[in-house]
Amino acid sequence: MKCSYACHSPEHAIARRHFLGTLGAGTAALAGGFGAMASPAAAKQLASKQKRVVVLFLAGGSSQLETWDPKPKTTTGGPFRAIPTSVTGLHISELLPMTANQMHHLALVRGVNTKENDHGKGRYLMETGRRQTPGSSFPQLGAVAAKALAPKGGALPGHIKIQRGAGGGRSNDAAYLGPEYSAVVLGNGGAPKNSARAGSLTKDKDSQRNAFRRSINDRFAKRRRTAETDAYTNSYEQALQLMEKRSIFDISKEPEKVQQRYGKDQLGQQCLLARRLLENGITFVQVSHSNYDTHNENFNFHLEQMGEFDRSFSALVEDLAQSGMLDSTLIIVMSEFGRTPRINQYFGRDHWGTAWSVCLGGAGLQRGAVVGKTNKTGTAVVDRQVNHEHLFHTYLSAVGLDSKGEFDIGGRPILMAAPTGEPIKELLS
Amino acid sequence: MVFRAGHLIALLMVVVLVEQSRAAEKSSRTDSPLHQKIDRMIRAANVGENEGVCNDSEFLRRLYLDLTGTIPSVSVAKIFLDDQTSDKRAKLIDRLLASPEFARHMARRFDVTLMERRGDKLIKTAQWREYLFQSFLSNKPYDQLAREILGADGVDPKLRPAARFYLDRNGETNLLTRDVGRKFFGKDFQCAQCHDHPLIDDYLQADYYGLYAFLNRSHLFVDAKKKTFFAEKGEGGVTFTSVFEPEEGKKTTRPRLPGQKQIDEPKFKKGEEYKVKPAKNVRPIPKYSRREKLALLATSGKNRAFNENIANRLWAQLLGRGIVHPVDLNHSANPATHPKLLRLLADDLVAHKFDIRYLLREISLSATYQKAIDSPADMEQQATRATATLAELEAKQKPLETALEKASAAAIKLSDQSDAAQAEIAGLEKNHVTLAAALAKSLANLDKQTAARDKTKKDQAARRKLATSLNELAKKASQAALQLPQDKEFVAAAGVLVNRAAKVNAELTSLGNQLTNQETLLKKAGQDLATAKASATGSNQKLVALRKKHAQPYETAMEQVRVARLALEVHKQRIVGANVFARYAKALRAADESATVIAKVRSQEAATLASLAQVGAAMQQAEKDRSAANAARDAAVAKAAQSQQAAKTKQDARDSLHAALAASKAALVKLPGDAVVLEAVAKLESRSDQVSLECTTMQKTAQTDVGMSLKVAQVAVQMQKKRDDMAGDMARLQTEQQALAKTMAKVQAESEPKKSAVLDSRDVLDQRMGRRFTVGSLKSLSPEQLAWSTMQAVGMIDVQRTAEIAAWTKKSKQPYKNTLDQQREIEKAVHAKIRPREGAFVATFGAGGGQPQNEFFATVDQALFFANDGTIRTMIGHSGNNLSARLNKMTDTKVLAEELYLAILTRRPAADEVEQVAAYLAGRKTDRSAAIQEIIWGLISSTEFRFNH
Repeated sequence: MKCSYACHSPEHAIARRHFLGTLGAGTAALAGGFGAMASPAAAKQLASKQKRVVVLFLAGGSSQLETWDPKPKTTTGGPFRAIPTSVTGLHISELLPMTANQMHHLALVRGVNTKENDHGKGRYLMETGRRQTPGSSFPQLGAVAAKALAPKGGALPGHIKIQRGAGGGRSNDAAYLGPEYSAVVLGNGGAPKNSARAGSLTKDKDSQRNAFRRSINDRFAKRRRTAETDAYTNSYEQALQLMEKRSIFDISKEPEKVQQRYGKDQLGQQCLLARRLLENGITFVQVSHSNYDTHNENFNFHLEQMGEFDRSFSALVEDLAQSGMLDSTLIIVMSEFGRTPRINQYFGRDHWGTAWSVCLGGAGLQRGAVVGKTNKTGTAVVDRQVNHEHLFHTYLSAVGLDSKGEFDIGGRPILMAAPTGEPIKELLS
Repeated sequence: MVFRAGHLIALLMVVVLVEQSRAAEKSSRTDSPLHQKIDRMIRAANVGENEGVCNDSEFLRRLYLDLTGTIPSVSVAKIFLDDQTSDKRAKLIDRLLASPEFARHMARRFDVTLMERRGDKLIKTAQWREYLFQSFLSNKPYDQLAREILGADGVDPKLRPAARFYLDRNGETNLLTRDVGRKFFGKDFQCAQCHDHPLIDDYLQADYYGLYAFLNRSHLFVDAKKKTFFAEKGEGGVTFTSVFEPEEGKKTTRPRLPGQKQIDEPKFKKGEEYKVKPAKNVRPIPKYSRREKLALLATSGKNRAFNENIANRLWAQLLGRGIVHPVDLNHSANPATHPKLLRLLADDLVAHKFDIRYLLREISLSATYQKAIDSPADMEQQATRATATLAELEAKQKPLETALEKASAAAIKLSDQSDAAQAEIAGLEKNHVTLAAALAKSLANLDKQTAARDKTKKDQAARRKLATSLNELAKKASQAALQLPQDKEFVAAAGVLVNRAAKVNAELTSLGNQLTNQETLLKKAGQDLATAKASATGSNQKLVALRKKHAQPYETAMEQVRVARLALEVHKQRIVGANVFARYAKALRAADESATVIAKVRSQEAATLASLAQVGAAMQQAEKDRSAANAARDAAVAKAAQSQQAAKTKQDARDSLHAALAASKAALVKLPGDAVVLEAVAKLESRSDQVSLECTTMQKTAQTDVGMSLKVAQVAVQMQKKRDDMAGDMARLQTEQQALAKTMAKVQAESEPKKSAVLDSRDVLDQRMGRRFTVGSLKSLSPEQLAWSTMQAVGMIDVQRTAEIAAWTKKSKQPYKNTLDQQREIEKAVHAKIRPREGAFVATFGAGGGQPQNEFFATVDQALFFANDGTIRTMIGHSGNNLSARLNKMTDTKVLAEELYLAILTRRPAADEVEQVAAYLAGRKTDRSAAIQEIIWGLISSTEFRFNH
């Protein structure tokens, strides 16, 4: 097998004009998307074309026993009951009553074994679909989705992480895909950094100085123009577009009733923001909820946390399903691992990567499906064991990508997902 | 044949002269400075020709950014641009290379290259950068720098920062293996960690583990004071298995540098590997350090990958891309664009003792470095010329392929032989170990025997001394006893003495015998040793010879394969290059042809249109003629009718007169001679005659008029026909014109893809010329260059410098004279103040920590940073004597524009640019200072600012 180096063969060289052509088309498509939000028909059209992903990361490691795989009345089950859901025969924890009504939109993977009980490593493998190996780093799902799915050259970022605390900027999670696919972090769930025009500068003056900038650029372009100079000038145009669309990051534009339905707590507001972003054509949004690291008082913590989660999550699922966007939007609820069936002396549960669950839904997944099974006390997977690699392949397949495909990174073909994994076929519709 | 001596001598003279002149030519070529050689090599292997040299402004900006990491200040720019001396470029190169800013820039570059913006861990970035800064300030040879980093353990406080490369990667062997490979050998072996690289023939798993073996004994060591060092064990091997070919089983390797053999190493007995043995809280020190060996071998000047890596990286620093690019992917499938040049640079750098300044100086002096960014004007002619060479080039490929096949076959054959020899070598190695053991045993035996003999000798000497005194005493006592026979006691004592002496004598004899015995044994042991030594040496020689016999030809053969492969790749590249030109030429031709067709259709269209116009005009005339004829006809007809009518009236009058006359005459018959009647008849007769006459005339007139009207009617008919004919022509022409318009639309549509094919192929060609260094490249500023250049442009750095100089003058109570020492002081102070401001730029424009840092990317957040971030706003805003404040004071727009352009783009503005600035400010009389800041913003966010250097 020989490598044909794209960077050296004229056939593969990116002709600048083609590059620009794509940019133009991408911008147009996206612009259509924004304008289209007014009409539900157009929203549906956008929905069918563009695939999206939303991840809820339950940081610290949520308990599968208090969520997706309850074992009531067993030595490991804890105090909570299991309740029926909108899927006949499927029971989940009583801590998720509203989510139970949405289960027919979702699917469960109950046989996850990642063999990893360390927070950092567990998070890494769930977010990248690969085990951390020294000397190499892999892009997170959001970066992969942004590269593979997001329209090129759009004003809005393809990869967004909503952060609980302040701050923002660009995160370092795209590895070899390059920083253009790194997450734009929205500190405190606000708009991207620097997206507001400075007070003293009026819109008119800004237009004037930008016109001046363009004329300088046009003059230089007559001497020399490259894909890089075009990308650079284009980034300023994208910035201006983003400033125009800044209000999509503002959830106060949503009716009070809707805000209440999602919950006025941080998770609720962030889930609502996530919905707004997905509606506006952003490819990947990650929200996180913490802290689930319940070595002490596992049950009290879950009682409290799951209350928040249940309301916000079920509202998000319901809205996506109702608008038709769910057909093209993949939902993932993940943690770095689950929690031990054994209840420790502090009524806590500890780290547990051996037999836990992930909740998925939407896009190309079977609705209401359950794959994998643990034993009666939840101490081992007894059917259809899968790991992070299978899950990652499944995510990609669910949004219509060939999970065994490759990215061309500066002429180097690099597999999108771990070579040893496979998608969970029974989950795919 | 008979030669006369004279002839022969003359002939020889000629030969000698020719040889001499050839040698002179050759030596002048080899002796010429490196920068001239660079230009020759680039020209010899280029794609297209371009003699365009950048102007002084561009040279100044380029050199400042490449050597000091920032653009020059306005005053520097003015002085340089106005300097009329011819060697000002060379002088500037030397001045910048000697400046502290150069050392600072190199330290930044090397930091980013080696550490890839990892956060502080065990060694602070500031200390590490200071170490690098001092290294470049003193022009430390690169081999020494690399030796310090690769051999670092963090123990020597002076060199502790050098350990950051290892320590801040947590001493993780796989990570270090990859990064040592990438950063010091230009080879990213990552894919070869688990198997031979699937796509690259010469990235082998054995290469990876060869490097790995230098490093896997090393580990982090934390001492009792919680200080971390990079320690090394004295034992530990490397085994690896290919995940692709697990059936091949485990393989082992000793350390091995890329492209070289496994190294020979001293062997120690178990337990004797250490100078300081590992223990709790004790940092082990092995007698033999593999890491030290790595540092020594890599930097010896003999490892080509190491030498070429640094030469390539320095080249890339100035030219914007490596001769091998990306700089860490040096392998046969991604060959150097100019392999001979790369080799020359590397060899010359080694010959100049790894003097980095030397190499940078030579490259900067080359015309290749000083090329303009504009592509040559005669690309079309060049394309035609290149196309002509294509067939010839393609024909030459086959022999090169054959050569490669031949070389490969030879290498494979040798490899098979070598495999067979491996068994023999292994046997010999085993045997050699036995022999070595025997040798050691004889040596030990000899030592033991020698010790025994020495002891005997010592004993013998002691006994002999005792015996001598005893014998003497016994003798004297015996003599005394003879004289005192009655003293029994004495006699007895003498007897005891004699006996004792006899016993000691006997012992002495015995010792003598023992010694003889031992000497014999010792001699034998010596002989044994000699034998063992001889066989060990023999076996070793055999082994060395065997290794040499098989390894060397194999290595030579592999080298030949490499050379052949490289030659083929280079040739292929040349074909690709010619093809790129050919494609451009073809696209141009196709576009030309299509333009010709369009022109033809257009001319037909024009002709038709002209005819149409002509016919139209003629038809208008005909129409006019026809109308005139019709009018004439109508007039004539009317006139004829009128004449006829008049004649008829006259005729009627005449007829009435005739009737009246006839009646009168009849009356006369009845009334003959009636005078009245007679008079009436006479009057009527005269009247009738007159009227008849009139009638005849009028009838004639009427006849003429009718004739005339017929004639005119005929003309009208002719005119009508002429007009009808013309209408036919017109319709035909119109149809023709419509058809032509259709054809035109078609050929124009067909020409569109041809036009874009020209643009696309030109794009590819431009890119390729850039890659082959035929045109100056556009290099995006690194985050640090962007930070410093922005701060320089807006005047922040100058303001800071002025303040520091004032502070220095005040403190030292000396005038500032810009000596090198003073420059260093000021640079240090300015750097300390400005450096913290880099952060915002680096966070926005740099890739994440631990990721490759050399790829350009443009994202919305960067543009938003420039557009709205307070950092930029504050920098542009008025402060002290910064750019904004200076411009605000200038009333003459021309002066203002010059200051603005020199400060930001290092050039003077063109006339229309001055006008543009004037126009911008003209509308902003009330908020001029805001307008000035907007203009500054427009320039620092322009592509020219971001890319042109």
